[in-house]
Amino acid sequence: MYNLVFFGALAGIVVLLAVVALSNRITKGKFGLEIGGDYDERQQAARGVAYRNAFWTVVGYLALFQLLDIWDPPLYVLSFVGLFLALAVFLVSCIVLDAYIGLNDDPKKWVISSAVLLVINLVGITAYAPTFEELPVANVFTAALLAVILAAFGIRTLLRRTQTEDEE
Amino acid sequence: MKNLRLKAARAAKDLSQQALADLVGVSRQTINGIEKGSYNPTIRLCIAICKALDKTLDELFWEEE
Repeated sequence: MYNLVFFGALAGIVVLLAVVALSNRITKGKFGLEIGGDYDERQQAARGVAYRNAFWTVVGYLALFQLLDIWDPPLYVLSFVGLFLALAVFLVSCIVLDAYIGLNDDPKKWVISSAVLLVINLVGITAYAPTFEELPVANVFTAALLAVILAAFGIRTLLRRTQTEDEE
Repeated sequence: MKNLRLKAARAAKDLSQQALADLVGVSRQTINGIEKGSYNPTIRLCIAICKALDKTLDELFWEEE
């Protein structure tokens, strides 16, 4: 039994490393594809801040629920909540700090598609009315994560658009 | 603190924020942030901007008391 768990974990780590190595080669244009473009120094710094925010979110979350013992969900729920919380903080931080060039290329298109996706996700959450026990927790948090990110992006894009037009 | 000298130097060269950003290899938002004072550029970017605008570091970035 323990051997199976060990080999399963090992296989997972190997697959993860392979995926990371492959995606790095693809995004750096090793296969003739250039994805994402270059980030300037301000955007790299912004991503650093976003990583820091996500890190402290996870630390705070773990400390809160492990030390205070105020919530006792199944382990997978606890893990998913922490994961999605950190991911949401990271992505929203990146959006607010304007860490990605691509998002500024065509704000109108992004705002409209964000609004549509946001509505779909909010409707999805409401229609499910899920509890942790009734539904796969990943579905719920994926929808919630998307909703938060898209809302943040829509608001930030609109605000930035008016601000930068004034500055020109 | 807003960097009005940078804005003036850019305008004197008849460059938009996007044009200057393209010259120095950053996004328009970064140039906007420097002019607004919300982002402190590295010395490397400062030098690139100075070269693009034919100015010295002192002329664009030295804060007088």
